[in-house]
Amino acid sequence: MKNDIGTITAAVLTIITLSSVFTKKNPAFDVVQSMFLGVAAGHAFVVNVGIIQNSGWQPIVQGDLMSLIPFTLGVLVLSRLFPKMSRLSRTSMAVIGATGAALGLRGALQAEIVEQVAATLVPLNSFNNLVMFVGVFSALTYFLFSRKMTKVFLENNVLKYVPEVGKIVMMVALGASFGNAVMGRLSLLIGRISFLLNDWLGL
Amino acid sequence: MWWEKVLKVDPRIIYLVMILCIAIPLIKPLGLPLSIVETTKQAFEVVEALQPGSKVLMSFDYSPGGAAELDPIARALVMHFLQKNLRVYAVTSVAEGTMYAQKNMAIYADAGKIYGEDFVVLGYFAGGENAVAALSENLRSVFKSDIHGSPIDQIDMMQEVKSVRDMDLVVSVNVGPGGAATADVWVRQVAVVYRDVPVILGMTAVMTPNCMPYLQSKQIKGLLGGLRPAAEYELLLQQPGPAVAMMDAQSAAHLTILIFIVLGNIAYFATKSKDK
Repeated sequence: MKNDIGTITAAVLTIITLSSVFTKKNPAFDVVQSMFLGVAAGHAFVVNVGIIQNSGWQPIVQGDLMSLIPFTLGVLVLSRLFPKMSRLSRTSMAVIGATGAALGLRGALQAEIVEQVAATLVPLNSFNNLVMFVGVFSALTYFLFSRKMTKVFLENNVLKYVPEVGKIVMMVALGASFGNAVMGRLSLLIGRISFLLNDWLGL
Repeated sequence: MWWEKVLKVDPRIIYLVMILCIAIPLIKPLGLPLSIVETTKQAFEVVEALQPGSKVLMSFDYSPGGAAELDPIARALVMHFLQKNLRVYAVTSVAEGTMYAQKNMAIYADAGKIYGEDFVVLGYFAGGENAVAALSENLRSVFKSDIHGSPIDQIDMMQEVKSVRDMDLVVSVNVGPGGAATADVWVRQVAVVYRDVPVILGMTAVMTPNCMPYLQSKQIKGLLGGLRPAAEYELLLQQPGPAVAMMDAQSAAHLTILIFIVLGNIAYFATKSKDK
């Protein structure tokens, strides 16, 4: 059993957090919840002050005048705290938004459209490729909302089943996501119980 | 009558059973067999192909919320980097990620590797996608010093790197939308921009189905999603560690859930037919 203050504190807080599922009203859990938020906010504040000091203030003090531009834009964001001056933050927000959008668009078109479409254009010479083609095609037909196209699919005795297949494909995909979500949440619980049993109690 | 009791069971009993089913295999491992899937082998082969001394940019993009799943992935990768004698540049886009970077790079220090020559912890970078794009083009535009405050130009292993182009591998172990730079960001700003540099993503299980298309379209070279690939990676390394130990508990928990689902459904249909 580990007796250092850090491990004992973490173990007690873990037990209090887990106890919330066994009791309806648990003031100790409320305290731990508030502590978690407080510690996270405090840690983020300290880390970010360090970033401003190292990446913003120090270069300016050392004579790098170009750093004044991002530093000033950063300071202007804080004007949102004062309603009368809040419009000063608009320039900074515009720069942040515009660069973010431009950078996002640069990679998004390639990574999420061009490459994905290219990866779907495969020869139908294996079972996997066939499943992928049927899955992508049928799922896409489910999202044909134009009246003309919907009519083509729904009024044809064979084609009307295609969007239904697409619906099943999407349900399988969502099922896989949900299964992974359950597995992920269990891993978190296992992590805490493992901490209590192995790291704290040394079992 | 019995099935009605099953339907009205106190949820706290289910929680207790679940905790016991997880705790018992953690105390006394069952040694359940674990197969190694192709995606894990793929990631392993990418690292295996690197020459000793190759440079790895590793981003520990996770906080305590995702550490149970992601820390075993990061640990397994760092163990492999150590085995291959690679040089690691540790960064993070999550404020709390620095402690995981330090914790995992302590494996290097404990093995006698020299800070500044074999590994360096550059620490946290704020700014999400913009910052990932900036550091990919020029590391010095984002990092002026390492976590100890040493100017990066005074660090030996920083002399050879200017941008991601100088790296031989980029890894992000990523918590997802809660983190500042998501897995998508690393694909958008690194994988498709610097195609010569392979990218491996580690992520939570819940993110895996969304990111699998990046692997299938060969934009990333490896994907490790959740605790299971971490355990598989430890087995490939022939160094079973915490992830392998936790997989028995994971399997036991899944089995318990399945039993509850089956029991619940039998009880539902049994009471329904009785009502009719």
